[in-house]
Amino acid sequence: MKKWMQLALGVLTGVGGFFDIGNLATSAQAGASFRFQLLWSLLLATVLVIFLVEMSGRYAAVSGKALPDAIRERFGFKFWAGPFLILSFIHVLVLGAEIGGICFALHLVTGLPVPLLAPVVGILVWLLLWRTTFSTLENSTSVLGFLTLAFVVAVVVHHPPLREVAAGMVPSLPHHHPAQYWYIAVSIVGAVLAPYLFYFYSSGAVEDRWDKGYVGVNRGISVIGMGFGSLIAVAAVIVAAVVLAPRGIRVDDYHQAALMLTDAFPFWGFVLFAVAMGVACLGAAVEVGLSMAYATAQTFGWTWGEDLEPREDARFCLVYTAAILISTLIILFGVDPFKLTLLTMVISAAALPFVAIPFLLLMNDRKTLREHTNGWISNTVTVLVVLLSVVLAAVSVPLTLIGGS
Amino acid sequence: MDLVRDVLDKQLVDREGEELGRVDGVILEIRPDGPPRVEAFELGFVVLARRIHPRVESWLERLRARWSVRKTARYRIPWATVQEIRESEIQVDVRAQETPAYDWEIWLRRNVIRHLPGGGE
Amino acid sequence: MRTVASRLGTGWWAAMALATVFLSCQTQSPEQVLLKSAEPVASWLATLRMTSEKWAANSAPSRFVRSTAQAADDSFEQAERDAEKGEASPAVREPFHRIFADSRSACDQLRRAAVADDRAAALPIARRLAALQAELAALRKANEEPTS
Repeated sequence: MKKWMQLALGVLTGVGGFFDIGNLATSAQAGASFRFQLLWSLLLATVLVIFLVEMSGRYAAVSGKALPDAIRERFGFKFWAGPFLILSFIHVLVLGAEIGGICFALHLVTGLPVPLLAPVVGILVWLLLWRTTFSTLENSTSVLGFLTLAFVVAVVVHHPPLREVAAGMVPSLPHHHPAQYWYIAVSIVGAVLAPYLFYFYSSGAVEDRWDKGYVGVNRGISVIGMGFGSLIAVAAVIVAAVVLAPRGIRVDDYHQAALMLTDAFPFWGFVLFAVAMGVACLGAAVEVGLSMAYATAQTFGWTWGEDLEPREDARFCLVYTAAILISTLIILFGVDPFKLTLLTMVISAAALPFVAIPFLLLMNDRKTLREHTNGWISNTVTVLVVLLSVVLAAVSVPLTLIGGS
Repeated sequence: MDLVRDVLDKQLVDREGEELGRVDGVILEIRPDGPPRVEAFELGFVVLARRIHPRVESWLERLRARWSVRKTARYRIPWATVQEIRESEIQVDVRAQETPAYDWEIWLRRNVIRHLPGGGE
Repeated sequence: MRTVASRLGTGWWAAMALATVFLSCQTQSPEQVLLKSAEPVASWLATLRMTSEKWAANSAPSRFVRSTAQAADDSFEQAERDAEKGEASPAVREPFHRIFADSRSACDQLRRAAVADDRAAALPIARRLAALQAELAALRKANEEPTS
């Protein structure tokens, strides 16, 4: 029974890890500009992420090591140094985007300007990490995560044309603006396959002291957690397609997405959107901050753990503190949160090979995983992810220039 | 024993199981009569920097001399103190809190953490 | 394995740099630049219209309308600057400039109404925005190249 309580980790990772500001922004863009046509990229990303999250959890359960730990050990510092720095840079940008998202959600509710809210939000996120334990974070953010179901309810209210929705789940070529189409498709994959997700999930599994017995439950959690997150994202695409696209509204700014739920809920829609956005971004901010601290502490062999008191792992706490400080400053200095999000998603997509390639070797390490190494299905998916990541890395910069404007 | 695989970059823990750092470098003793022997482990950012490029190492050395809390750039752990080599970590017979590896950790505890709410006791 | 990876890495960055240079050198015709600058204007006109309608229906608060109008105005301003870049002939450029200016005017009207909490003004402004939308759509269609 306790193992299934671990579902909370899954849902937390699903809401914060899957449905975060990146997904909200890209889903709204996709629905507004291309209606249901880009649903296939979201579904593809979902399938891939389920496999990768399952692998992250399985590795942690069997070896007792989280991913960054294992990567430094197996690949050596010389190979890991470059990717580690790049991924740390991306972490800070993503954290900035998430904090920007929380700020905007608060701005919707209070009317206060986003840069002014940044220090408040930064302190809030920091306090959460400083004062709570991992299990408290898991349980509270996953309960709050259910508020994002507002998008799903809105879909039910809207009665979208099911045949068109289903057609969108099959890959198709765009009828207009092909560069923008593929740019959003790439951003969607970059938003879903975020590195912090895997580092957080595997480290969380170690924090929760998983052992080999959790391998089965891990599979369920991966599917349910990521499935839940995907459900919200798909709902967001559909709502944007039904509410924004017919009006000719393209999403280039959060203001254009904020009224998404007001057709379905004339009175509550505005607040629901703000709450859903705020909650998703808060969950994500916590995950990204922790992921950065996990990756850094494990890379250098420091004591780490959210369950520990700050004075027991001071350097670990210093990392997330510094990350939060820098990201807060980014928003405080007036960087546009929406543009930051889009930029980050593309850079994330470009850095995907650094995330994907280690999986290929780690998951086939018979010495560590014994009978739990990848089966042929998991390996095929992993190879596909690696190939896809190389393609994405190659096209993301050109696409940004022509499709992102 | 394969040095690179079994020792380098491995997690080190002290005699109580507390994390001590990672094996950033290995000091070898070249013997005329036989294969090289591990003399000691080396820990430190400077050691890591050397693996990237010697220039990075010297730059980091200068930074450390000016700004760091650490008393020594490189912390050496002699091979003789190794208690056990496990699959996932190497245990050495020291106490982490008393080693240079913990210089920053202890400095942060004393000068920063203590002054923040919830950091005391 | 490690040296192969680092060589691939350098090769990839070199390719990226080349692609970036190549794409930055791409030029568009003046008409294309104008049409491209009109896209966000159309989108923001639609946004402002929806915002006014929702405001009138009590689905959105006045402060949000003010904030959206501010964001829209920034975008209209940017569109005007982008339209200049193409250096199209004044005859072609003039109608676009007029609509962009009218859009900013309507946007400002909405902002002032929001500041004054004058919800009654919402629907007339929405109608004005709808008219501008239609005008812009017709203008874009008229300027579209036959091969697009």
